[in-house]
Amino acid sequence: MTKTVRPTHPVLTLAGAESLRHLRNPILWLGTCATIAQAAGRYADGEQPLSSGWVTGDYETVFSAWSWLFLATFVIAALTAGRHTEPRPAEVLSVQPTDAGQRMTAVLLAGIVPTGQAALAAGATCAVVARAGGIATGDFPSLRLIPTAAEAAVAVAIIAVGYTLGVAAALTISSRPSNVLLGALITFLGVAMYWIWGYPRSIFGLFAVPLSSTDLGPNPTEDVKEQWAILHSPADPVYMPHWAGYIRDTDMTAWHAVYLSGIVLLLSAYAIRRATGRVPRWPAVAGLLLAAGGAIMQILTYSGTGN
Amino acid sequence: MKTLLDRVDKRYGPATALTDVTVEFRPGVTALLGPNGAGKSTLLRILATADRADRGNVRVLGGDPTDADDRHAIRARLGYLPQDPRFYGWFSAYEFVDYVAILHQIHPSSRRRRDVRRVLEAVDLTGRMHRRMNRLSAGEQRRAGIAQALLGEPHLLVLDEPTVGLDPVERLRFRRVVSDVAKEHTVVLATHLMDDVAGFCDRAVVLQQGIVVFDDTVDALAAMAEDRVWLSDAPDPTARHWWRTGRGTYRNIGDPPPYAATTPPTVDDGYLELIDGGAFLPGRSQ
Repeated sequence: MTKTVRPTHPVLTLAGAESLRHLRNPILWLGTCATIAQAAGRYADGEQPLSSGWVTGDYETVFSAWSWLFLATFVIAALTAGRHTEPRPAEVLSVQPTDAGQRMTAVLLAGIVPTGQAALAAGATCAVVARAGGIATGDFPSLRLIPTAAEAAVAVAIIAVGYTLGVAAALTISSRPSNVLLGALITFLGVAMYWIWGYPRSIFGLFAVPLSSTDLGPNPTEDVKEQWAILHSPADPVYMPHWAGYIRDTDMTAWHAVYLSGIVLLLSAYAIRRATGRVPRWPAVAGLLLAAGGAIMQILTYSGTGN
Repeated sequence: MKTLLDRVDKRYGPATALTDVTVEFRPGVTALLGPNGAGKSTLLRILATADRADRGNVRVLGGDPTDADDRHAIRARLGYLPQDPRFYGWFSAYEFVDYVAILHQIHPSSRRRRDVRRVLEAVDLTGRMHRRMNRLSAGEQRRAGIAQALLGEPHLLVLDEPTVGLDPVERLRFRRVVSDVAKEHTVVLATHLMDDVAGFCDRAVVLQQGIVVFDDTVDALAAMAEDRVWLSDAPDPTARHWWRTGRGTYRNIGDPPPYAATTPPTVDDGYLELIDGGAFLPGRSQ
């Protein structure tokens, strides 16, 4: 029998078909819209809402909004990958020229759709927030924060992690309801309750919120006050006697995005290993390097206070 | 481009599925017959490269299915319908067949779309091709399964009980489609429906307990019961098998009594006479 050259474009064709299915999926669009609505809804009218509740509360609300898209992405990924583990259709699929590794690679590549939707949501949020003058933070109405590119990159990377995590879960646990529950649990603990992942846990978590505060004491000098962006002044000398300043650690956030991209590659390698029995070398090695490098650099560049 | 199994053994744990099976498949339609658990599906899975033989030599379309390159080339020219495929319920029939066409690497996309339409037309499913699979009847789902097997004009078509659930008109359509493929290529199908065997198969291979017990023409299978079938007004105690026909007479198979006038045997008769184990037959005399 003549030797055949395996074409690579079946993977791209298949990835295109899987991507179209994702694009037509209302769950992903609902997740995207809910995320944009929660993150940017308060700023949609172009007004500058005053900070409410905790001094960094509004800023952090923008992070928890990603729960919707994360959950939608996890569920869709798990359902898509779960298709490849069903025994009976799998027999029809297994005798096709496109092998299990190529099929799984295509499923993973289709993650570009929810990741793109995340980029869309991040862009829309940044634009709306910027138009409103920024997120009100602290007790000074003049303190307004606009999400940085690094923060937007982390949000997008988190959705990519959610997709590969969903694929990996489906290839490990065959029950669809269990995967949906697992997705809900990870979303709740990893995204909605982002604040439990304070530094140094944030290095290995999903969100690394770059804002940390420091206590400047009851009577900081004018020099000290000029060095820090002031979050809080003692409006009530009894219960809130100290001044507080903040540090925004965008370098560490950028390295956290690098760490997350490594996790995406490692989870992809795991998915291909589950599908084919072989560990794909370059995603595994590259993922390991990026994850380890990203984690180390987060430690080295961290300049916050841990609060 | 030979397709053959040569002294093939296959076991699943302690159970023997195939023992020393040697059979060559040629262009035309070969029916694979045998009682439940005889090893038919195992043989088809080995032919379809879905499983491997434990021992023996297997060639499919001239290639060695254990060689990765050969296997890839075989699969590009193979159509396969498993016994109980259960396709994805939330895909439409079109989406499902198109998905398999992508996996079958039919390109460019214009050709793929044409081929998907061709096979859906061949099984008369174009009118309902945008319905979700879980909203199609069992017969329609079966037809979608047959359609995906016909993609890419296969040189070897392996079908495991393809006509289960099809109505007579659809079975006739199926015979026409498969006969067209069999003009130049090889079709192997497992079935329990002797009408199909008599209707359009050239050859019959009968398996029993994993062993090939018959490999010849369909006429030769019917001839296994030559001079051993007779009709009577009541069950004949000398018959090995008997059953009441729709006309109210009894059809008997076995050693005919001297007074009986034998009748021409059918493929059913020949098969029953060959298998003879018969515990599964309600009319078997003890």
